[in-house]
Order: sequence, then C-alpha cells, then structure tokens
Amino acid sequence: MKTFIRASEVWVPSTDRTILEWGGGLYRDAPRFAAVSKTLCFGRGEGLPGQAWEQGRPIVLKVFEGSYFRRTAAAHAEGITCGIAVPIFAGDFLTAVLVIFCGDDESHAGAIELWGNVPSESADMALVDGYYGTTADTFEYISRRTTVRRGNGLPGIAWGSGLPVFIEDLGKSARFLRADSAVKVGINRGFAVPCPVPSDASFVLAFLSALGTPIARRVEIWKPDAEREHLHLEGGFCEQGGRIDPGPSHLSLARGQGTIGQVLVTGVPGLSDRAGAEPNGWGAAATELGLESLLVTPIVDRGRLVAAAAWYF
Amino acid sequence: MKSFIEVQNVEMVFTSRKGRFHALREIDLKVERGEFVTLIGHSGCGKSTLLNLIAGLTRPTSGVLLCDDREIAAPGPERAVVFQNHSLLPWLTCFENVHLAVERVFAASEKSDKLKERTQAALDLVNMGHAAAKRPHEISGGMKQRVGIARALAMEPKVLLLDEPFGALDALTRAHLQDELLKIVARTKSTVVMVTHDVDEAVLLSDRIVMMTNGPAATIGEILRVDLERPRDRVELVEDSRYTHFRKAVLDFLYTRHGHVERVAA
Repeated sequence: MKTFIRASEVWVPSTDRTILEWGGGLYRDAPRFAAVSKTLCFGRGEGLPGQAWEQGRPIVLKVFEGSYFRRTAAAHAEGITCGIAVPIFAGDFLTAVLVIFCGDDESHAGAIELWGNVPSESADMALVDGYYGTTADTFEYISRRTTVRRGNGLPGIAWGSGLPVFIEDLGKSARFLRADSAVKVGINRGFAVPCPVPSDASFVLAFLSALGTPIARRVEIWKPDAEREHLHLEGGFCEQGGRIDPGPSHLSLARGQGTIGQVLVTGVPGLSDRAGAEPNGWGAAATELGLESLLVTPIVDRGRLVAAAAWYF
Repeated sequence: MKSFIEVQNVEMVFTSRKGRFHALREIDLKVERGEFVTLIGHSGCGKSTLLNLIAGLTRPTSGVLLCDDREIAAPGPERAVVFQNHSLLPWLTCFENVHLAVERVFAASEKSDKLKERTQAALDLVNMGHAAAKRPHEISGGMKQRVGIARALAMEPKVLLLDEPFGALDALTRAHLQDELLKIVARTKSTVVMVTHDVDEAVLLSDRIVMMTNGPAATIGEILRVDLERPRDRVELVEDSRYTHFRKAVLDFLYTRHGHVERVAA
C-alpha cells in the first residue's frame, strides 16, 4: 500500500547549537534522496530545516526550484515535490526539526494543510498554506476561503484540544449525496496535529487522506500519564484493522521504551525502519500487519510533552 | 484598519421563570464597511439574537459591540432592521409608512418637500413607487417586504440588518427580491448583516457566510469567504463550479458536522 507521505527525516541541533545535523530519516523508495540528505547540515535560515528554525513555525514548501531548498535535483529524481518542515520547541529551545516529503504524481493523492492563528489579528484559524497533490481541487478551493473557530472543524478541534485528532470518515454523511461526492473527490480521512511554537500564535497541520493512498498505514495517539512515566495509547486508526480503541487493558509504554517511549524522554521525533523490533508485543503486531517503519512525533507545549503521534508505513 | 462593526467576546444569557438559557458564547466578529455578511445555522442557534444585539434591541450579558467605533447601547437610525414580518402599520399607506421613518431621522434638518422627495425616492428604489397610495392589505407579501426595505433604506442607515426578510415569501418572489436587494446594495454600498436559513440565498448574496454551531451556547463555527465576482447572476452561477463548492461547504457544515438537530428529530 502506497502512502501519501513519501519520506520523513529529523534534524537536530549540534552540540554547540549552531547548525542542524541529520538525525535520521525514513526514505523508503527514495534512496538517492536519502544518500544526499545524510551528507548535509543546515545553519539557521539555511535550507528547509534551517528556515523552519529561523521562522519558528511550520513551513510548507511546494516549489523547490529557485527556493532555499538545497536538494532539488535529488528530490525531483525521486518524484518528491513538496516538503513540510515542523520545528519542535521545548519552550523556546529547539529540540528538532521534522521534515515530511510528499510527491504529486497520480499514484500519491492527498493533501496537507497548515492552519494558523495569531490572536492579536483574528479569532479565527485560517489556512496558511496547503499542499493538495493532484486530486483535491475542491478541498483546496474551499479551504482557502474558510476560517475556523477554536473547537470547530478538523483543525479547530486540534487547536481547541491541543491534541492530535483523527477523523476516519470525513466524507461520511447522513445524506448519501454528500458521502458520494466526498468519495468522488477521494478524501476520506483526516488527521490534525497541533504544532506549538514559542510565540502566542497557534498552528495545526491537517493531513487529508485519499482512499488509495492514506497519509500513513496506521496512526496512533499517545498521551503521558500524570507522573510522566508512561505513555498510554489513546486511540488511532489502522488501514487494515480499522479504528483503534484503547480498550480495557489501556496499553502503555514506559518512559524510554521503544521508539514511542523514547520520545517522552527526548522530546525529539523518533524514527525506526524496523517496526517489527518494537517492544511489548508491538513489534510482533506490526509485523503481522505488514508495517515496516515508524515515525513518532512529539507535541510539546510550553516545555511539556502533551501527546505523541505515531505514524506507521 | 478598524472594522465597521465589531462584536467582541459577546455572551448572551436569557433569564426567565424556567431558568437561565445560555444563547450565545464567545462571539467575535468583525464586519468591514460595505460588506455583505450572512448568519446561517439551524433553528435556535442564536442568529437572530446576534442580529438583535447588533441592532441594539437587546444588550449582551457580557462583551462589547461597536459600530463605527461607537458602542452599540440602543437601537439607532444608523442601523435599520428589516424583519421577516414586514411590520408595516396597516392604517397607513406605503408612502406614509416610509415617510414616518424619514421624518424620524431627517425632520429636524430638512423641509417637508425634501422629506417627501426622500420617501418617494426610497419607494422608487425598490420599484414600489406605483403603490405609494396603497395600504399594506392591498399589496402582496413580496411588495410589503419591499416597502419594509424601502423604509429601512430611506433612513440612509450605515448598516442594514435583515432578519430572514424573505423567509415568508414564495420561491419566485424571494428570488426576485434577492436580485433586487443585490442591485440596491450595489447602488447604496450599504453594509449588510442578514440572517437566513437558505444556503443558496447565503451564497448568492454574501461576501462572507458566518456559520453558527447549534445551541444552546451557540457560537461561530466557521466563516466562509464567498469571493464570486459582482454583479452576480443567479442563472449563470448555477453552472459555476465555484458556486457549487461554496454551497457544498455550507451544507457540509450544517448537515454533516452540525446536523444533530436533524438526527435527533429523525
């Protein structure tokens, strides 16, 4: 199963905090892009990761040519045409920059939207930028003209709760007509992730998933307990198994346990290209579902990890 | 740039013998000068309550409303209201109904001839000059509503507040009056806030559609910017894919994400 996200990588500040160094990546079917990326580092304001660090907010870069992007040839060679960089701050201390890459060929359909609010300017959250691939013209047209209030709409719910939100039936409706049109457009699932920044602005990344190419093959939402010693599975969705409910056993991982538990320790996104090696039976379950790799993104608000989103590919 | 109308963090709680009813919460809205904004939502979502607050007919429990940088503390001729019910005085002619409003605003500064001229001009603006001498019971519902709009416009209000003005009319008359309203607003450059239940009406007329969540404690959910060129032609718009997108977005908000009123009813 192809996914809309083609590659993801993490850039971490060097020990003297002057540059961003390659901290790992999942490049799957983009080996040439991987080879180039591992050799690079970025100063503040340099390249896509350095720009996210400099601007202190997420960035959607849709045109590589003539931009500050430094891997254009390698990206195009692999069919990668869009990059989304998300700086992760603990307070005003940058812990990492996560970069997600997508392509817009016919076999990779979906959309990623960046929504933002500056409270001194507006009570609304509006679209800052979006990447819509090739199949979601309707959603782009309306998204660019819609503003949402806190607690309303997919980005507004994530904004209001400060937590990741997964909606598995975006196009589902009590009225068949609209369900039908949603299917025609191809958008069915939505995953919104808040991206806290040091300023008083709020940002949310919304991932809109098309039927044939989901954003990821499985997503999970984890929350820390009060003691911050464990992360508990709050829910999610698996393309093979459907909705994931925490269930009575309330699945949990200890601090530092596996790629997910490690995020509670470091506040840095976690990457693994061996999902089968995860502890607590997680790896065995991943192998059974055919999941190969794993990305875990922390949501750190005012210096505290409030949730983590796990993405399986 | 300062907005023409500003609603800042408004809450509205009604208290009655049955207890307290939290009608509106956290309402923040800015309307620019010359903008046409519609408020849409299911019954009971507080659309008319919000319009009445802007009209100054009721005061908010908390929060502030401003019009042209002045606090809205009471009704005023700079904010004319047209209700679903035409509210014409049955014992007066159409001319006299409009003239009453004209006198209220301009009698202190203008002579009688000028007041009559204003009255007739307002009736002409809504194509009702021919019925000036008729009383409300002698004209149709659509004509009554036109006279109501003429009365509002004759006061040269800074803001026209319309509370489902076409809701009680048949479809053809409603379409005709919507087209008339588009032309009038284009001529007068009025700032308009309008309550409606009608999705097509909202898309046809609006610069922005303010979509409200279900009550109690309703609030603004989403705002859709309708940047279709003006003048708008309803027949041409039906085949315009952008119009379809806007229509679907409002329907999606009302019936997919905020349709619990219907589902409960079903």
